[in-house]
Amino acid sequence: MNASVAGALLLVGRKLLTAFIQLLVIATLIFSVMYIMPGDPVLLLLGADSNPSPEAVASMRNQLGLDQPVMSQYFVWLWKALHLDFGASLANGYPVSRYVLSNLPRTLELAFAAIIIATLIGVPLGIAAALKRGSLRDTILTSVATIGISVPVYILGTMLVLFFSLKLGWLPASGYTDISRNALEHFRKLTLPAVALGFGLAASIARMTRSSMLEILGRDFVRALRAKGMSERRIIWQHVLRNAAIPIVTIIGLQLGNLMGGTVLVEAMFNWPGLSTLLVGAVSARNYPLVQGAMLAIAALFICINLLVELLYSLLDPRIRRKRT
Amino acid sequence: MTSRTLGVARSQPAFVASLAVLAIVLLMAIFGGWLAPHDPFMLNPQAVNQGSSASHWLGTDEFGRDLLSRLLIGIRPTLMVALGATVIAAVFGTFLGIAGAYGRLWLSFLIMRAVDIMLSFPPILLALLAVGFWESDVLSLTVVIGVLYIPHFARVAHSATLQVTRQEFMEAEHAMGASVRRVVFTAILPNILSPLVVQATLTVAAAILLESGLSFLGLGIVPPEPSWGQMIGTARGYLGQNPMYVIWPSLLLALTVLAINVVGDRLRDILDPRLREE
Amino acid sequence: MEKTNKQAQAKKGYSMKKSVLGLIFALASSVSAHQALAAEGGTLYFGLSGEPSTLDSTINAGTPARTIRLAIHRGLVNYGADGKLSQELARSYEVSTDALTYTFKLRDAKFHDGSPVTAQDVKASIERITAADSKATYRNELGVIKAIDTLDAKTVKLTLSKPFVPLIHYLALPESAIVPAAWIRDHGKDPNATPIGAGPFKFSAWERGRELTVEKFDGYYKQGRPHLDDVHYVFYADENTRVNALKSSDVDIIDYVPWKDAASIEADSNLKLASTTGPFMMLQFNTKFEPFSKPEVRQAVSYAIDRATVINTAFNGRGTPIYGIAVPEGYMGYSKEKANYFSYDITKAKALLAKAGYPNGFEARLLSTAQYGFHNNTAIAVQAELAKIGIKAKLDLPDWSGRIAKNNAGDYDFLVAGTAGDIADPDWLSNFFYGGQQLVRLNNSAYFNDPAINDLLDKGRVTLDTAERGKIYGQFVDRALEQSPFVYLMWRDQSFGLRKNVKGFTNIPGFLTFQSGITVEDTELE
Repeated sequence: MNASVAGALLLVGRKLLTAFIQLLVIATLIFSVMYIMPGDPVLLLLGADSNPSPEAVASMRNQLGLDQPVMSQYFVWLWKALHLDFGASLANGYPVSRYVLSNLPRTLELAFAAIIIATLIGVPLGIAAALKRGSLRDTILTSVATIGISVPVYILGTMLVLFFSLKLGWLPASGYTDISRNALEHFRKLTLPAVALGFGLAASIARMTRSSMLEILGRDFVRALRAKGMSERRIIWQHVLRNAAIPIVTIIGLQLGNLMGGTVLVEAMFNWPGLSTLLVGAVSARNYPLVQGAMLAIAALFICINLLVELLYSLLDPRIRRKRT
Repeated sequence: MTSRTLGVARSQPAFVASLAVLAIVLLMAIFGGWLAPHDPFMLNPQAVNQGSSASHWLGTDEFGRDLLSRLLIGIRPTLMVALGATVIAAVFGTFLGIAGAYGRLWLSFLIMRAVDIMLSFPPILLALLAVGFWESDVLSLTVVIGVLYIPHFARVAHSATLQVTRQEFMEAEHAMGASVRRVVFTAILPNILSPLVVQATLTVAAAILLESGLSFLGLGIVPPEPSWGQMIGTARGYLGQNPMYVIWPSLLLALTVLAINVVGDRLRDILDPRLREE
Repeated sequence: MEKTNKQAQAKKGYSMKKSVLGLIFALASSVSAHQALAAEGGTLYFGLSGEPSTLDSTINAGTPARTIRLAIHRGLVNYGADGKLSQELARSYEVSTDALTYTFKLRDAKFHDGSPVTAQDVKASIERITAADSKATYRNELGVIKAIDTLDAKTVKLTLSKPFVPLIHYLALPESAIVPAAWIRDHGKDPNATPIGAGPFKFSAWERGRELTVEKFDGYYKQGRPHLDDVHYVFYADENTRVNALKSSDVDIIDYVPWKDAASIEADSNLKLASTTGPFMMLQFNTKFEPFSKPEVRQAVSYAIDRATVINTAFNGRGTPIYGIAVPEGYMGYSKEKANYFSYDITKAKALLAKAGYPNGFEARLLSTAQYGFHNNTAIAVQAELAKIGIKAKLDLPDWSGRIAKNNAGDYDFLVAGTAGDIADPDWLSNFFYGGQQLVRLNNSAYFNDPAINDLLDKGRVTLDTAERGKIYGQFVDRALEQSPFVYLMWRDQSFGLRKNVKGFTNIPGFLTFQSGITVEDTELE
């Protein structure tokens, strides 16, 4: 037992080190991409429809430190980032970390809501399909799931807005209200984006559930249990489901990780002020530090969630635990 | 032969229908330009956003261009990007994956960590950055999307190769002193082909969706050249005036992706020996 | 029969529910109606097309920023709802006969921190703009002010180095707002400082990426203004999302109504459209690019484009063609007989191209942006029109930031621009046509530098006599048509969408539509 705890700790340590290197590479990558990209934050800052003088541009550049050589800008940024100072927005000097911290929970919330919806729909559908493999029910459910994967999220989102907001007027078309200000409004505004995201995910979770159920159902121990005369119901609920749960939970976890940046289209459509909205806005303003901060936050969340999933997986699955230690 | 085909058609209607859809889509991509009843780039300010009519079967877009003609030629860039990207991803990804599994330790470490890093990003965000500074023509979109899916292939190829190399016949090959190239091409590749084929169908579908998502954000194919994703993105703004405008490309896009997924599922069933047994 | 019965019942049930709800609402609203009678008030949600990059009062950071700043700040003068100059912090002003001194008498107004608006504050505010290290957008224009004297606490005198007739118009811009001298001393360099002005609303909160809130300033110098308790400016960068927000009552007003949605807003019984013509669309040329260096080629482009195509496709028919120079009717320089100088004529266009040496046309890059639908669509329409005379335009559609950078670097053959003059004085033309020192900039055709045009613009700026001035701008228009550094396409309708219960908000006509935010002080909710 102690050995396995030590093993898990070792695993976590190694993963954290890898994660750190990953983030470092990502930061470098983004930094170079941003500087190759055409566009100039200073021109946007000095006026939308005006002709800033070269002197004003030069002085602004100097003030923001953009006149320094790229390499030195990079190392200054990196040095500060290592001390958890991610710089300030070029536009107004507002700390990047505060931007990120205010938007991050909203992306997480949207992602969790979508995952919950997807799980509630997807898992029962997948089980239902697997139990009657090859039947009409299976065919229909599988087809629906395949369609669900094939419909781009922005088409679904558009349809939802059209129907539930503009036609029926039941739900707001977009926006965000702080839960502290008006909880009901908060959840009303969460509903459509979460459903739009959740539906496609439900489809892939249903497919995953179905195939892992089928895999377990085909195993020898199930045959053995059947031979022993155990009731089908008990076999399913006590043995098959428990074994199938591991891959299903893994898939759900991985999907959650993917959602950290996968919300970009939905956030844009519903004006949901999450990390992707922050990122897209920052890219279009060429607000370099903000782009860096948002990207790193997304990557870090993704890595963390995957790490947790992996950890959970290795704790749940005895075979893997044995192999690792 | 024919009776067997008929038998397949009867027992696998979805699969056969999907193959038919893909065949039609492919034909459209090749011959769409000739089939188009109108010039797909011809503006007609007098016939903007119209519904179906005798001369425009599916109606017109915001420039009065014929929607059917644009749909017919719009599949080509979409498909070129998706197929091209898949080829790029498959070739490089497979190579890297095999090298990662079969190569020296340091090489393997380097490759697989690089793959991890690439995978820690949702493709659409990387694509967003990458297309931002290249002109987004078909070629650069293909390359960007292709590169994004290399790690997916690499991972599949890597784990499949690891399984193969553990089998006895590999040891026999080594014992006989076979060259690396011979081992890779005669022993490894044929044995990891089936997961790669399945991965390829998944990638084609994903690449189509990614291209359409980018086009939706205004970062895809450069107008006036149409792509289905771009048409959907534009049509979203005209829901009130011309609801069918968004329906047609959405339907075709969803149908194509659906067909690819169904074929992919079926291929997995055929190629995966464990499932075949049942 | 049965069905209709059921429907009727269902309807009845619905209306029953509705009436119960209605009763509750009626009770609730009767309470609020009492309150409304007592103290008007209410909260306005204003959907803006973007989030300001900065609230620095000296920088024109785009329409959303201006809209917000016009709630917070006032200048000596501003443009009012009627589009005319209105005296704001200045009770009155006098201009000397030689046009070299301006004397302003200030009214008793207060800043949001409670301090009075004094001559010292005016001096500090203007000096902040004209300072050597200032990044103010209108630094050059106000740079003509040589000295600022505070005659007493409420009188300030500006002395110019040379006559500059349009000065008062530049002082009316939102970027010439008056802010406390003490604030400039303490926070002038801090882009994050809470802004303090003398406008009808005080800054309350800025939730980055989402909304900016202002609240009623009780010490505002206009009696009974403002009506509203607070205004939430909510940022909606996506135009479709913005329209949906209005239609589903998430917000009460939106700016920049997309042209395609104007009709549906007009048709909606809960909504109304406030529309004006003012901004224009045009093509801007790199005059170093070989074919476009010749005036005949630029004229050929102007003859070749059927303006109706652009208007009907990119703007859903909501615009007015320009076949001459974009001088609004009623502005100095407008002339009716020259308004149709370039009326659509393909034969003439081809002849001009042949004369210039390009009978078979040529290829050129057309810069626009994919980020804004109307820019994107104008480029597509222009591309199709020019194909008719053999000019093959290759579209370059980066995002807005990329487009601005390319524009400012002269990295284009020709480009699509959509803009308006800054002021109602004809000197707005200088920004576009004047050559001078900086030959590549946002609003001029790159490297265009015509001595005759520069001369006329210089003269127009210093001429006091109105008739004389009119003549100068008449000559200018002749020369400008001949040279055609720009090809003007159309006046586009510029609209706000409002809920029917919003009263008192005005879309100021002409170029000044982008300063309509000032009328939030008159806005009420019924």
